[in-house]
Amino acid sequence: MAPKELAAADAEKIIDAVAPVLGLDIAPDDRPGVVLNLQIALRLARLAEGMDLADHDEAAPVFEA
Amino acid sequence: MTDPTSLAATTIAERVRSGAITARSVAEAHIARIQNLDGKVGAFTAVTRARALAEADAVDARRRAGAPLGALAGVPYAVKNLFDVEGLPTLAGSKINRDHPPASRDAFLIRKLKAADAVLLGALNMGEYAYDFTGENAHDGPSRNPHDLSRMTGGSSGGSGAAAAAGFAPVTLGSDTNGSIRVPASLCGLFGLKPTYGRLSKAGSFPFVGTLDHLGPLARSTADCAAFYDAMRGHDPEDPACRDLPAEPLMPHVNAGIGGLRIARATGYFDRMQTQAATEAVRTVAKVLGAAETEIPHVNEARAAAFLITMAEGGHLHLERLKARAADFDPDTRTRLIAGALLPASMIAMAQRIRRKYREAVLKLFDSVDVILAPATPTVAPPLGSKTFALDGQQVPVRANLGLFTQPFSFIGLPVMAVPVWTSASSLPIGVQVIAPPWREDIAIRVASHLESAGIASAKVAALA
Repeated sequence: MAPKELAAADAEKIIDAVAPVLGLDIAPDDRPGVVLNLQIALRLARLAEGMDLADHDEAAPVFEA
Repeated sequence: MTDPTSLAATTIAERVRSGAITARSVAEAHIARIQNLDGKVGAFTAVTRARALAEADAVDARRRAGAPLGALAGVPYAVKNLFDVEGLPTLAGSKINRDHPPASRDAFLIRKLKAADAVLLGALNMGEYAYDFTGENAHDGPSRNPHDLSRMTGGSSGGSGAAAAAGFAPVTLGSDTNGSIRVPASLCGLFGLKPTYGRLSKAGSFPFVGTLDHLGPLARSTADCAAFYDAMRGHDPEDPACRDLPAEPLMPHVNAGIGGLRIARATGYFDRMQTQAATEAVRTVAKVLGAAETEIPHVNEARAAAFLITMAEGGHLHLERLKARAADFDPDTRTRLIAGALLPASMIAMAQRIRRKYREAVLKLFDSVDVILAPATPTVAPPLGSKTFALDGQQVPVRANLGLFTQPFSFIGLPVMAVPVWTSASSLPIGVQVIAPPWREDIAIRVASHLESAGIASAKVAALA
């Protein structure tokens, strides 16, 4: 299944909901760029979901190569 | 007499030790070349002339007195401006950090190099806060590719790539979070060593994504990368990620050959989204090495996870600056960091779990191979200012996609040597990644050195005058 796109309007909703919680004022000129980057990130997150993680696939608490 | 700016670091050290040349004459030749030509290139943000001459004079005085000299006696080098250099503010490519007080002491790696009698020439241009693959910088201007000044160096260690390719220093230091040593090495035609995560201390460097940041050298030969790595080794408790493991020197592995190594070219993901130059380079290298093929599982998911962790950790690191001084960021950096700060936490938790699962899958591959080969970048250096390029018939963003092939390996901290190849598809160089198992930098060095001896990988000083 192709990764689902995040609509620009939904990215705007994320900005409006989360930015005030973080105390971030986003300048109007920056909003299109933030929307675009959120769309890219969410597209990649959908792709990453294809990894099919099991309950016991934990993060490495102390990362070592 | 040979122009010192064309010499390898190892050759300079030999000649300084033997008395054939003085460290001062080497430093002066490099400083003169920087003064004459860096206006065209944009590699340096600060030249530490007085310090360089004082360090060189100290080396020469010790030689005259018959005292032993370090392995890098009189070798000039320069560092990405995210390294602390005593007396300079640590810019990390930003406008904001210009207000910071000067660093009170050198970064750990610079202290190590000083102890080896290397000579610091200055600090180098870079993409803002290292969140960059282009080498462009809104505050300092772009670093320009010495092999074609109208093109990108790659980033974020853009000045590091530019300086070594321009003959301003035989070796430079860079940082690599997702590819920022290997991308400029590829685009500027250099050897670039990204050691294993946790191998070299990051203490005294400005962070980007602490769980992914690496430091390492870019140089015009395998031996020069090895010599600098050897001088910089050593556990440092000031870097929480730095592992207290024995680090064997790499110089004995230069010219050791590739006997007994099982080598495979990565297929699948690494066969797609690339130009002819990238394909030709990696296939030429694979043929010379007699490489088999292997397909790395879950690369798409791994690269996506690395991208998300980078955005989120970067966004978090800079959150207070984004609140207080948003207008002082490079606009291209600012919007990505803001978006990163807004990402849902569950996505980042997922990305961290993917990291471990992917690591296990790749380590399993190393049961049957010792070396994996992959392109370093999808293309040769794009023109400065380009925002998109065509890959597989799609127009894709330059900033996000120059690291398409490097991100999956730094994500799990594997040691990688990028080696420069000159193909029939372009007049510009392009890199191939030589990827080894964790803590086996020696294997990557053996392969890179073999390719250099075979004439397949080579770096050159650009003709700028």
